[in-house]
Amino acid sequence: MTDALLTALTNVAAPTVLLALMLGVVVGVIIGALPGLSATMGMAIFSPATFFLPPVEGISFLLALYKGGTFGGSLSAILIGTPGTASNAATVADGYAMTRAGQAGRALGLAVWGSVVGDGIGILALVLCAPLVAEFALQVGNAEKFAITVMSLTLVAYVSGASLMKGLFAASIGLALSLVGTDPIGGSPRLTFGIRELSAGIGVIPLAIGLFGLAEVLDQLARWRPGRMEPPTVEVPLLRDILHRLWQVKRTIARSSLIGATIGALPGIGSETSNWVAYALARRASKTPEAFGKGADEGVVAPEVACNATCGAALIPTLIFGIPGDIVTSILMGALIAQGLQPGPTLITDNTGLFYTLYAGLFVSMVMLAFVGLAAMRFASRIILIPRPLLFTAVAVLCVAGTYAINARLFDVGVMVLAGFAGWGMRALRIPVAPLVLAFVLGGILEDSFRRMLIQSRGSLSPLWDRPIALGVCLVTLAVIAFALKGTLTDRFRNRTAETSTE
Amino acid sequence: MTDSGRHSQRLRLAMAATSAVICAGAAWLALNIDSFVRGWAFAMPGTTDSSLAPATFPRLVLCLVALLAAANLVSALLRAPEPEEAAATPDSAGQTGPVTLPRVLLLCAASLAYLALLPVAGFILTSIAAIVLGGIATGYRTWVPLLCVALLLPPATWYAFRYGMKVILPQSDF
Repeated sequence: MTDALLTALTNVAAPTVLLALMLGVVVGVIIGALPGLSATMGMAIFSPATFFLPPVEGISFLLALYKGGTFGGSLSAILIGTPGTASNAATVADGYAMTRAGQAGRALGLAVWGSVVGDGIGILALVLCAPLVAEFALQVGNAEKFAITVMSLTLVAYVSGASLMKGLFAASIGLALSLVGTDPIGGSPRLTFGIRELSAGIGVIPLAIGLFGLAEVLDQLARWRPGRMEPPTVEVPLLRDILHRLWQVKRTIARSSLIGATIGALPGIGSETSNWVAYALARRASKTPEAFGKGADEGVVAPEVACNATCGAALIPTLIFGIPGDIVTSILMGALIAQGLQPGPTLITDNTGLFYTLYAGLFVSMVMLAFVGLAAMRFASRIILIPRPLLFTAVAVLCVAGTYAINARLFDVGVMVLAGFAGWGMRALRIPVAPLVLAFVLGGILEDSFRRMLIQSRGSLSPLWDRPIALGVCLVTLAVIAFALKGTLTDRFRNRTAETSTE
Repeated sequence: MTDSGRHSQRLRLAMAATSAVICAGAAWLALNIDSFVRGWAFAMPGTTDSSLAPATFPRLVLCLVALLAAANLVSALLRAPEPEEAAATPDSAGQTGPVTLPRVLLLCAASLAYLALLPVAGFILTSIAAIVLGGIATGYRTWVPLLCVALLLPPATWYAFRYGMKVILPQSDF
């Protein structure tokens, strides 16, 4: 183990790895800071480029981009009241209130250091829990794998939109799309409709670039109108003052870290959820809940700590079960597979050196995030004012180049454009996109585990209730569905009562 | 009816139409799945169990799609309109407006034209044209940055992919 650690430290000190980490953090922060661009989109667009890099550099770049992007969203949330990513939506209320009160620097300082602390705790959760979970994962059979996959799809459908049914509908379309290509057990072609290019299936990266990248480009270009935006002024606060403020909310930090890491470790849901949960609990636990929404320190620290703590923890189910912790890690999983690294319980034991290097890289990128975050405080107000038409037409060009580079096929570009319009339409109809992509990624695992379970049990579904872990996971899934249905029925009853009383 | 009410009504109809098309498509595919899936059934020894046939899982998934699409269709037709989302936050309000049909058609036409021209005119020329026309179509009239991005980004991307990743993006026939 000592040898592996020393090797990891030597590897991570290599100039190429440091450069990849720094580039990842910088690109991530810029992408996250620009409203409309998110870490998910950045990962989707840049992951084809990493296929041409060695695994350590490629994966380090993507992990750093993920962290940078998650933090970067807080810059536009605080400065212009528009979250750069969904992970920072809860930061808007108090962060933007501080900016309006002329205290943008204080809000940014709290966001930077809160993100660094949360990030560190998420990485610790990964490093400490991954080996234990890997041992447990070795006991997991096909029935458990099937049950966990169904649970993660239900969870993501539940949390990613206002309606569970729309979430499940999107997930079912993702599952249907994952069927296209080759039968995973028999190896025969299916649902290719005579199109030769479909025999290898639809690529997850073109699909993700289209649904997240091009769809956002189309939406932004369709909505943009000429107008003026004034840059907010930022006065950089003293580090001592920020650290003092963080110390005063240490309990909020501890609670939010725990929430972030726990939600991250659950398959399917990520920082889009954890930032709101942490914000709500911070408000409930606060001695001054009335200050929330008016510029409370806890209102910025809680969501930022939680969403960054989620990043590291989200890698646990991704790497060990091969079930993505959230939508960003589902794209990361695609990149790992492209690098010849198949996520699963033996991934870490078979590639100890590589993973110790990645862990070390995560810690190094955490330090880099602090420096880049502090620098970004000075420049963020300029970055977010880049004219949208220029920015988004440039992103569209990168979407095309990135998609083409995967297989050097125009067919993939066509798939990406089609997915872009589909994603734009889904957004207009308020159908969440995340369950579709996650279901598409999980479709293979779901089918494989389901069919192997049936083969082992001679066509019977009984392993789902005979095996205790599978039964427990199935019960959790049923509880989530029941909870969602109860919420829907209660809302309808309230609406009907309100309508009756109005009449 | 207000503009917002009309918009909600249109969205519900669009949702209903989309769900109906997907429901019909998935149901048709589920019924005819054997024509689209090749392979052999793995019947267990001594049984004629069809649950292990290669078409079983795709059929199950397609039935699920059809079922959920039907449920969405019913919901879209029966449910009260959802409340409108806030159009924009205060500081970005000056730069955003509603999505209009001409812009949607323009973006569709531009994307189709881009895809058609890409193999013929190549990545650089097509992208230069797309950036300039995209900027003009959205009402952006600051020429220097627009031309700088249009003339520098596509060639820079082409060369970065060519020499950095050894990928040759589509080249011009001319």
